[in-house]
Amino acid sequence: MCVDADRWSPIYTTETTPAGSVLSTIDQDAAIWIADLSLQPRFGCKGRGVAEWLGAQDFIVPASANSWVMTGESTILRLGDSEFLIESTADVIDKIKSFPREAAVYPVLRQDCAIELGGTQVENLLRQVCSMHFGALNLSAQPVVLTSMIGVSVIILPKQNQGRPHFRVWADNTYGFYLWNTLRGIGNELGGCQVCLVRDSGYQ
Amino acid sequence: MLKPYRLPPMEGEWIDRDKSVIFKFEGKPFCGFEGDTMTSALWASGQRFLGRSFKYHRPRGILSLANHDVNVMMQWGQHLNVRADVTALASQMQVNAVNTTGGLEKDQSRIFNHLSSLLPVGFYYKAFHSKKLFPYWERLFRNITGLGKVDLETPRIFTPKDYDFCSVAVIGAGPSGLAAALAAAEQGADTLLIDENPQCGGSGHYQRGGDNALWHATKQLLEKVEAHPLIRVLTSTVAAGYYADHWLALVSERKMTKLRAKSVVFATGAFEQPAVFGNNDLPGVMLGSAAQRLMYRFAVRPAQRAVVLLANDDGYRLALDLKAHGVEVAAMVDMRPEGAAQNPFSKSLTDQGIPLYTGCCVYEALPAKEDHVVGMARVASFSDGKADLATVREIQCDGIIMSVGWAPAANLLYQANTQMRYTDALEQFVPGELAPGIFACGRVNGLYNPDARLRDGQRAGSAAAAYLGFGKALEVDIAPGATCPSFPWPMVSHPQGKNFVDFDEDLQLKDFENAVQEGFDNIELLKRFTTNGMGPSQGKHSNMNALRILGRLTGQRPDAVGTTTARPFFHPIPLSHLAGRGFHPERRTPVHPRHVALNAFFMRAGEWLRPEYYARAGCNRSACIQEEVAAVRASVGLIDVGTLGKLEVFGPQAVELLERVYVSKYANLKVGMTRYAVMCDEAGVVIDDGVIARLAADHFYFTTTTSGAAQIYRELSRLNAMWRLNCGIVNHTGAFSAMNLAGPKSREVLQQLTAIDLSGGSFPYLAVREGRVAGIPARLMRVGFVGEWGYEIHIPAEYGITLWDAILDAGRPFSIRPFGVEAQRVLRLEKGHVIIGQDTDGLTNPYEAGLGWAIKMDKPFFIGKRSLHILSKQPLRQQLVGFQMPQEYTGPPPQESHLIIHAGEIAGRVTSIAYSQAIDAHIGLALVAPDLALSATSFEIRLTNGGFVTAQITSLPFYDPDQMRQKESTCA
Repeated sequence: MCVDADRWSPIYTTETTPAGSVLSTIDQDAAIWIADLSLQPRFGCKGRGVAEWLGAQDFIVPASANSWVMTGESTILRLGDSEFLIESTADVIDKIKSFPREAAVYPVLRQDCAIELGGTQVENLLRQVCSMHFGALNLSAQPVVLTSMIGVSVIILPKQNQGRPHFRVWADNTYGFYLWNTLRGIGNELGGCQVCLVRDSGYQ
Repeated sequence: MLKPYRLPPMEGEWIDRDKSVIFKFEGKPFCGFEGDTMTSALWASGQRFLGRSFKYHRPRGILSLANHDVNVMMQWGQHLNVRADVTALASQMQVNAVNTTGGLEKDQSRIFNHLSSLLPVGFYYKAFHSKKLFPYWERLFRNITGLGKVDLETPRIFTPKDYDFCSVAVIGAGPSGLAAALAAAEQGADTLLIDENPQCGGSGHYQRGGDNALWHATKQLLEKVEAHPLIRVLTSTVAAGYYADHWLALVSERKMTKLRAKSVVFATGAFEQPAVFGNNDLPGVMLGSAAQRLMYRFAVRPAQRAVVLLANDDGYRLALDLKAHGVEVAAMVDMRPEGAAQNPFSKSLTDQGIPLYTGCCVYEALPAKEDHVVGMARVASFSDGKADLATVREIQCDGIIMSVGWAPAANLLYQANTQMRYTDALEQFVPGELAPGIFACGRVNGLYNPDARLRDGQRAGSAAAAYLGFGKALEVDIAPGATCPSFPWPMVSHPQGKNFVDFDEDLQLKDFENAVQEGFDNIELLKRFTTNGMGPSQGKHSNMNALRILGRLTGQRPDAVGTTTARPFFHPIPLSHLAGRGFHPERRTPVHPRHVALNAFFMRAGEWLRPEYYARAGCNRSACIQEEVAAVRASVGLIDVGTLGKLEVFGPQAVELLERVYVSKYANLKVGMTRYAVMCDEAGVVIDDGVIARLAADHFYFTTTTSGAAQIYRELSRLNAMWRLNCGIVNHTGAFSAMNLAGPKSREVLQQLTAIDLSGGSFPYLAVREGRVAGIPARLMRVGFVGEWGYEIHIPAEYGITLWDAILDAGRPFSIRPFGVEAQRVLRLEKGHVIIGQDTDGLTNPYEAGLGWAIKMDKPFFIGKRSLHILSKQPLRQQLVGFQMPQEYTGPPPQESHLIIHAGEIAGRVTSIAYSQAIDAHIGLALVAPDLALSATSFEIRLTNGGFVTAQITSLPFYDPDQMRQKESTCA
């Protein structure tokens, strides 16, 4: 079976990215860098019994709503109280998908457009596209933000790497082209937007 | 070489004398320095006639030099209404004054100045109210008044949208604002200091009184502010609006920023107010603060020989400033009686031989011979608003500089629900009760003494930080000023008028008297009748005087007169800033690249981009659509329906949720089957429809309309939370790709790709099956989407293209055609399928839409049941019917929304119409009056050109009424 992800994730459908300009590594000094992580294997579930069920599958579950944890190669986001998004390796995700559905555990098909944003101007970029005050977040609490960005509902996971902020963003894939192009356009106005190809492993 | 009005280098000046800037004004070349504004550079060059007024086209010069008035507005190419007082000079700039016919000097419209007695306030209300002629007059007046000219070729300017955040926002970076910001930051609050000027310091920079001490103190404070790690400074930024919860609209040259603060300190200062006397608008008559800005910011002499008209101590400090910079002060005219005028400043000036006339006024200004600018001041004794003409003395001068009072810049405070009170000792409104988190300091608080302003700033900044839990509020003693900063009646009657109160709208003192005489004796009515404060200055220099005039004419105190409502924005904002970048979310289905490759012509359906039809060489739009329709009816077609809302509900009470929100029954829906679903609101109005498929006893998958998905999901989630049902709802709209394969050959095409038994017996009409199609896990529903045998196939979005390609490959032997939204509309219309939102409106109930059959009133509860129960016993308001145009009709077909006329009355409207090959005529749906639907066989439709065409009312559906196309025999 042919997987179409290569053909619908934003980095492949955008009409403005010359193939030669895509970096295979992140340029930390770029004004803005943007990476397409839509192909990262992921799994979603919701329901009253999900937290216990994930625990029974040996996942560490974030204790509070709208927070995340990382264990090994898995990142687990708790969205609200009873919904979870898990990103991991294909093996882990395939395994969890194969488990039979249990009472009060409802699968959520995750076909997200997922991108990572960083760079020296990333906070300015976010101020132009989102009304959320990311500077006020306590990153040690590992928060997850469910908000709206340029009119699109998004999940945002803010992180810091050696003092440099970067943000992972998930959105409905049907908005992927619009989201990607708009962010790139604003990034270019802020000093240049470097497109990076970061696949599978993600940017930790 | 120094220009006639350029001063020698000045401490703290904003200009860079090493960088000259050449520009043109009204076609003549001028030269200024970098840092100059257009106005300061022109004034420095001796050009003091800078603009024409809005109504009477009177010559105008500098008034405030502070972005608070619009005496000097320019057109700079496509930039119109550029405020020259504050717009930085740019190299090679070519500017012209706005609102002239034939240029500034020879403006043909200056004749209106001589006709002014025929054009009093409100004359057009009385003279040009004929309904028929009003559009003519409106155009005429629009052409002869007005500001800059819009160039319709101007490209759209995209300005960023922007958000910002801080703990304490301080508006105004004058002495009190600087002190407030520093105090707040010292207590640990991250502070944002905002000022409309390109440099901080405010009046601490330019109101020096011939002494640099205040400037030095302000400079020291500024250095501390700039060095403080918790303070950010935004200059050239106007805080133009305040909204609830401490949202502020910050407007800068390129963008508007929405600032969310946790507390706000308003150190917004005060607007200096003009005196009202004859010809008080001549170029050369300016506010004292404008003269000081000219001197200290731009090193420009405001006049060579000036009369200082004053009524407060600031006026004497102004005279000292003028004298210090070589302006000959011809006289000081103090409007106050003698006793009030005595102070150390006045004494030092009179000791230098400058004449002081107390209890006097400038009765009128007169222009210099053969010039537009002031050449003489006529000074007279002044009492009770009147000049004693017997005492008039004439003083030659080229400038009259006024310092008679202030009005608090309290617009934002009003927007922040501040209760203001009038203080007689100050002749000013000051904040009384402030809302939580709101603080005020400095002149807006009625404090004019420099030391008091600094201390008040400290107090307010400290309190704002303490309000947020940063430190403790400082307790500061602040002594009020000894003298009143504002004169209560700086207005002088003049029989010839031309004593202007509002410079934007050319409103004279007598206009207000006439308005009150006509009964407009309330501040809000007065404003609307006279248009006072409705110009671009928004009353910054006229509201206070208008209030005083009304108070005197009606015998009320200023606080009894009250102020007009100060709505955001109190300062004009470019429309480009309000529009911002323009985010228009756009959704594309996973198969979008394939539509592009197939030459789809796209249309927007809500946020979605959908193929309207697939363009083919040599075929027009209509032919393409008809070919697509024909392919579906004759063989097989494929349409991308990924835009449909796709929701899923799981859990033991999933069926209970559906029973409560849809009008039909689902408890009896068998696993493996689907059922049409109609949703109503509490009023019984149809709001959505779709198909519900039961995949397991506790698991349903259902569709909604394309536009309804997000709202329906949100509403179901809300209801589920409220009802506390044991089920969970998932919105899978974007996660699933969906396509509909339809036509008599659809089964043969699909059977090549799946092992699912597609025979009618095994997979009957309205059944749902799960399995693999082209190796992809899929859900298949056998629905009559377009009235043919067909399958709606739902798969994970990532496989959308794979399935699309596989189906088109498998369908090639059957001449399969992809079809777009327009073909789908024709096909569905032939079947009489209703489009919710198009064939229904915001009041249509299921009975009217012909969907009454779906309602199951024997259910214990569903949303809208009570309303539908009532509606079922009432006559229908309208009814959806089918109609058909005569086959021989060849004229222009009716269009959607065309009216149906019966017995001379509107009896309905067309909701859908299209040409049907199957019927060989235009067919449509219409919402009509029920009696028409019952009794008539035809109705008349009024076309756009006013003509009428007759249509036959027909039964529905138009096509395949016996559902033969769903029979296996037909499909086979």
